[in-house]
Amino acid sequence: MRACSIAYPTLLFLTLLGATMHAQKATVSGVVIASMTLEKLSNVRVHVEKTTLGTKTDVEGAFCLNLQTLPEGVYALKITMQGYGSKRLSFVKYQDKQTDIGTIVLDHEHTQGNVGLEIIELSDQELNDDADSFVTIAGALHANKDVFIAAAAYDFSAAFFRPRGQDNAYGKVLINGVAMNTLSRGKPEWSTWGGLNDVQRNQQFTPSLSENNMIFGDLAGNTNITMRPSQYRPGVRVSYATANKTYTGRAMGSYTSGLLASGWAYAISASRRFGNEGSRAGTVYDANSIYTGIEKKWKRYAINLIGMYTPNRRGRATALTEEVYQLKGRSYNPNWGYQNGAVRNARIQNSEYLTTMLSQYWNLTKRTELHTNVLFQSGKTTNSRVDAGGTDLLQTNIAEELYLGGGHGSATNPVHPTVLPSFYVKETLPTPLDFQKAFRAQQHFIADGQLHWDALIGANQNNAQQGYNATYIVYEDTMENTVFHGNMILNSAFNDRFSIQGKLAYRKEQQQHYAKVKDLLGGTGFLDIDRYAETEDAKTKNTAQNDLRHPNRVVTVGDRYKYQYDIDASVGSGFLQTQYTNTHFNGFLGGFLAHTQYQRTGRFENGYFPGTASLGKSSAQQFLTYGVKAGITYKINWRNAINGIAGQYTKAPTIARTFINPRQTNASVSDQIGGLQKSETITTVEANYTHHSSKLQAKITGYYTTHKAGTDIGFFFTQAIAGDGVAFVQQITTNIDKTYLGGELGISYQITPTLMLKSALAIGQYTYANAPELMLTSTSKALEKQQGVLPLGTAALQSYRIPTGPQHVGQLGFQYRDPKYWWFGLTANYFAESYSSISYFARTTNFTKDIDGLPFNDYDEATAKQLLQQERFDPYLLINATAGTSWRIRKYTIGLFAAVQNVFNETYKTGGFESSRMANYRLALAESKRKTPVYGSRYYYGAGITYYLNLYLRF
Amino acid sequence: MIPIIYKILLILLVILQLSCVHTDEYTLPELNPTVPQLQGNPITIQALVQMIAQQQAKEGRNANVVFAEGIGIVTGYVVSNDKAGNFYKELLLQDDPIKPTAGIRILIDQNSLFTQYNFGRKVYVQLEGLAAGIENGVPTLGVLENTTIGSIGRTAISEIVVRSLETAAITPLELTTSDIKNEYLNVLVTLGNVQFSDDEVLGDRSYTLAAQPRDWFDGERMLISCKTGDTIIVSTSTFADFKGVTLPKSQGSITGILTKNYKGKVFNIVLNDPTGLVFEDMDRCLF
Repeated sequence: MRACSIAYPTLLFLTLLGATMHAQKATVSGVVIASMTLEKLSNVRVHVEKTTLGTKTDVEGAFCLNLQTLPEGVYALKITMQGYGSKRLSFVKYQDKQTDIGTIVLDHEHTQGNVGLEIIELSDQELNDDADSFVTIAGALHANKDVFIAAAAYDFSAAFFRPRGQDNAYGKVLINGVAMNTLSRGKPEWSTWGGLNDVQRNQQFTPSLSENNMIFGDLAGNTNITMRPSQYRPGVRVSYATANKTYTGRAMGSYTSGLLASGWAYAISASRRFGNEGSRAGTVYDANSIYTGIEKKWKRYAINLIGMYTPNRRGRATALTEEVYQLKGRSYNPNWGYQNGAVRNARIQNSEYLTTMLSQYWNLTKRTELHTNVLFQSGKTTNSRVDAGGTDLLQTNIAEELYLGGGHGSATNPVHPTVLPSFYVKETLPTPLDFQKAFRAQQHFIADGQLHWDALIGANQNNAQQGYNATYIVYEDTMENTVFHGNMILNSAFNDRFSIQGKLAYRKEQQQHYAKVKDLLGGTGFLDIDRYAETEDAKTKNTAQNDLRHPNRVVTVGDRYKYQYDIDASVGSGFLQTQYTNTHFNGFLGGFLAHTQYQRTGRFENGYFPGTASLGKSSAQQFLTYGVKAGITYKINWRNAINGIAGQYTKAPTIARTFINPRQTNASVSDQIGGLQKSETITTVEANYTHHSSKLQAKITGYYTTHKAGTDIGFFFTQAIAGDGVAFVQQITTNIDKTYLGGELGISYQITPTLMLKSALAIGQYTYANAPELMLTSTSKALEKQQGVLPLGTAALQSYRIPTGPQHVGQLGFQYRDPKYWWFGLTANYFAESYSSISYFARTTNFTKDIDGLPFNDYDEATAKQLLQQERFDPYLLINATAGTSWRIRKYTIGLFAAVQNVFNETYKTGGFESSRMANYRLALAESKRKTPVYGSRYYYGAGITYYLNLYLRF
Repeated sequence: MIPIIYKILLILLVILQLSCVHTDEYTLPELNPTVPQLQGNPITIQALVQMIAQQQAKEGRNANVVFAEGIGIVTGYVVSNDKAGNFYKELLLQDDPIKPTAGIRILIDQNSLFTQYNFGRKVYVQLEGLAAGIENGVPTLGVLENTTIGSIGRTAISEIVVRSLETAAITPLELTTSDIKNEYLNVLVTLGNVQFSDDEVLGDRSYTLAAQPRDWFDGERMLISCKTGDTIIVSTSTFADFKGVTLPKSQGSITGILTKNYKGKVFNIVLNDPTGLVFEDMDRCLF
């Protein structure tokens, strides 16, 4: 029996005044436990039917509801929890009587909940070029029953759908209340804690800026993964999965003790994911993960220590032009080739991080909890590449230092334009010999089209025989990172209506960036200079040096070369939120304040930027950001509610968008634009209507979000500067405004107790809203006259669509659950309004101008408009199916889960980008007249049929 | 319960064994491949050049020889080096490393040829299907493109121009300016006792090989023979890594390939790299 008392500050006040007080108010209370294990269940929904009264059980499984506002009578109490059968109990409210229901036992439904459990690895995504662009709000399905979010997490992720058009840098992922988004790109790095699904199932998701006890929040939603040994269901779990998308096999085993009588709890989980090839050829996957956690709980205090180590190695694929796709198909990957008979991928990503976290949970009072965390993470990420710029130093008495050599691009790039047929027929009137060459190139590419490692090695061995350095090597772009993150979260309920949450957090990252020689490919050494530097006169002769303090170094395996710099970054923030709840309204108000600082320290003195321009500390980049949000929910009745949220906050640019060319210089965006770099301002309003009844769940949302003053930094090679200038440039775009307008609908309808129909719809319009400022910087000769900086005014981006995946999606599906513990589901998913990423550079006035600054003779506005039209990808329909079943044998549960995506093997593009190479009128016009462009846009093609099959055993 | 755990662990261990993927270590292939076996009649470069001359006598200046099936194989030694960027998509061969009598230029659609066809390498060329003629004034071998010689496609190179295992030491042919004649085109020669013209090196002027503002495609500089007063043009590509080298002011010798200018009218010397300029402290002569 547990007495349930409620204290009011007012009571205390009245006591002080000497007034008589009624210590008792009418309440109903109880404790919820699980049937087999007798474990106390937390987060169980307890709700008084036909009223708006409801709550959730705490970590002890206990709940207590204040019935003060209810008239006297008989009521039904509904107790529900995902994975368990629900219960309904009646009780009576009579005057001030306190009703204690006692212990409520829930039966575990062992088929339930497995659907969502596999989402995390299904979203274990893509091996695209550059940044991981997947969005996972994986735990959402498990955490709540929002149909729309469930659909987005599972069915839409393969199409790179981004909810509300926001990528995952605009979403937060937390572990035990610590935000895991890194400062480099603002994204959560899943690879640093992946492969531990068994111990990451306890996830809570809050959409957008809605009330959240731990964090202000961000537009794409916020997921907190609770990894506390005391909260895992005790038992052993072993599973084996086979798939064909990224890894082909996965073995996982976990043991969790659950909370023991002694107050201790511990957990251990390990997995291995492996595969020689996924849906893209040559994409090796080799990942091992291990987690251990230990926790001790006392009555009001708990301390928790967890550790994770998840080294993983993956071979990468890349985006393909239409021409290459037509010749080789969507699983083609130009990054690999045979070396001495073995498949070797030139672009391997390797990530190795050790993460430890110490957390304390302190119930200071019955209503106030203080939660502190200290995270320490250390490790590195490497991305390998082939360097074809190997040279030899020639010093004669005639010449000063000369660098001779360099390999050819096509040897290291199997899709170099010169090996593709389009290159040979690029002239307006190709000759018969051109066609012959094109045909031969086509046949050769189809038959081969991979990297010739043996040829690269042969060249190096040939050089070695003559005493020369290697021409080709494999190197790794490396980032070592040590992260410290500490926070204190306070959650206090004044009374049953008001609560307040606060948080103070500090994150510090110390990053080291450098290139490291990995493999000399049969060569003897590699000369560390910039092969493309033009060093013909005394003024420019040092520009070839990557480090003026160690000129002309010949490096070997393990040496750092090319560039080396450190980034020190820190963010200090404070967050405050207050929530109010009564029978009809919920409201909240929240705000945050943060200070961000980045500083680069160059370790190499780059020849283009001698002295402090590249060596030593940069100026400290500081950003002060703030945010406010407010929301209100009106509970119309116990089934329906409407909700509105508004917020405005600023977001500091990430490190990647602060330093314009960190491999060579200390320069920041603010240095280049000659003023302070702005933080991005985000303003958002949204309204929702939700309906929950036993058969029908529905949610409709409308939102309007603006981003203002964003920054973007891009890198590319172009031939289109002022007519025909060729350079490798950094493109700095500032003051970018974007608008996101749209609506979402999610419905699930239980037709019969076993058959559920579901539908989700999202219609959005995401566009650029202004003409941001654009400038190019480059060390190439083409910008020599401008001292390497070329402002180009503004880029006319207004009304172009933002390339965030499909902006219109629709789903219709059903799920059947048989009482004999098997289930089956099928969804049809339609994706449309997905656009290619446009070249900002092509939309500046540079597009129209010839060498002398005047428009091209043949410039025609109508034609230009057509050339600059944004490409829209064709819509497509994907059918996905899932099924599962489980058996119980004594106390063992065996389960099987199968998922097949894209059942009809549809071909589709999930994204793509324009090339900035031929980005002026004349070059673009010439390209448009070719049957196949030589430097066409590149696309990411979706995978064909992919499957995932998991067999597990639990006891 | 316990026995079942062991069974499960055993199964897991088995699975883990099967879960091996290729590690990050790779082995290097063998250094020396087998000697290539090319079948066919041996044809000297000299004979090849004569065939071109014969065809031209018959059909005029633009005539080309097209090599029929079973024609044979030409052997030569590589004397051009594109490492420094002065040669582009061409390979020059001469018939002997020490006493060359003829040379041939082969047009190949591939750059960085030095990584395979290094300086001094003995190569065999399969003539079948190729064509030869005079292009830019020099005997050129390649693929017939209408009435001109075009470059051999990159996909076919390794089968047409085959490397041997031998890299010979090349001795440049010593010539004086009066010895210069068409016979020695595409051969590595040394001209001694030469100096760059006064206009280019004396006074304030110190011209570079090809980095002057007015240089387009190739920089042409004049060398004067101290013995005869004859001149010869040194041509350097504006894409060469060493185009910025300042012309030496003293007298010395130059080692390079004897060729003609783009229009095929005037003899040129083209350097492989600046080591071909050997200008010690020899005083200028008065010419």
